[in-house]
Amino acid sequence: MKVHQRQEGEITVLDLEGRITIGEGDVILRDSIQGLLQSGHQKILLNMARIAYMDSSGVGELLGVFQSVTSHGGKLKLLNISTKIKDLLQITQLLSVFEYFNDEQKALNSFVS
Amino acid sequence: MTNHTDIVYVEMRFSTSLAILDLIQPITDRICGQLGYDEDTRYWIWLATQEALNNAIEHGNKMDDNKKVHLWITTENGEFRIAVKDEGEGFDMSKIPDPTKPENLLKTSGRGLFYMKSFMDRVEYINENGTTVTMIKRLQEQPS
Repeated sequence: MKVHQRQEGEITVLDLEGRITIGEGDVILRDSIQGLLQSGHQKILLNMARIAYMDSSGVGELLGVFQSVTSHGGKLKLLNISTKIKDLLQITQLLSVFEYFNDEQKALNSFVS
Repeated sequence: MTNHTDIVYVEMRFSTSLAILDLIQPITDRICGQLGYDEDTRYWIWLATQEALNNAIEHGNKMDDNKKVHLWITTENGEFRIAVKDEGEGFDMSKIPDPTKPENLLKTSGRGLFYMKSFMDRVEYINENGTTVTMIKRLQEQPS
């Protein structure tokens, strides 16, 4: 998985590309978030438009980074999750855990409101 | 046009490595395509298969590359069956907690078997010289 980082005001957007599966993407995601938290970035938007596939390890990693950011007093939200990833989260009753958006501007605005 | 009966039995045995997943996916997908499963169903069958392989590699064989993972793909009595066997110490899958219960909801692991059961019609497991997980999906009706 590739991670492209950009800054939109106070909010760090990570554009993710590839897969979040066991042994691929999961560690990269964790390290990216840890790096952001250590450098004081606490408002994070994960753009998952280019995440084509995720398994249970990816779901677990997503939960892990969500809890890590929350425990640091920050916020992590999701942008552009695919129907299939939404299904994965829905059937394990995790969809309501995350705040997710299909529109980037609305997602960015939600951090300040 | 391939008939269901053209594909009866596929057996593979491979080293304990996550790298094999990329090799197996196109084979599984091709077989599922020939059996007439639509794209969405093929996606979910692969996800269930990958979860079983992940478990065999990580939890069953504990990443020990001296051990093998076995995979069988068969069609029988109108059913598509994928079986994954590890060479580990055996694992009682009935003791895996329900990940949708409130106390387990935020745990970062323990959803693989739940996804297998969700996306396949049945999941059976046997503990005998390792754990064998068999995932079963009814074959889709072919247009006449």
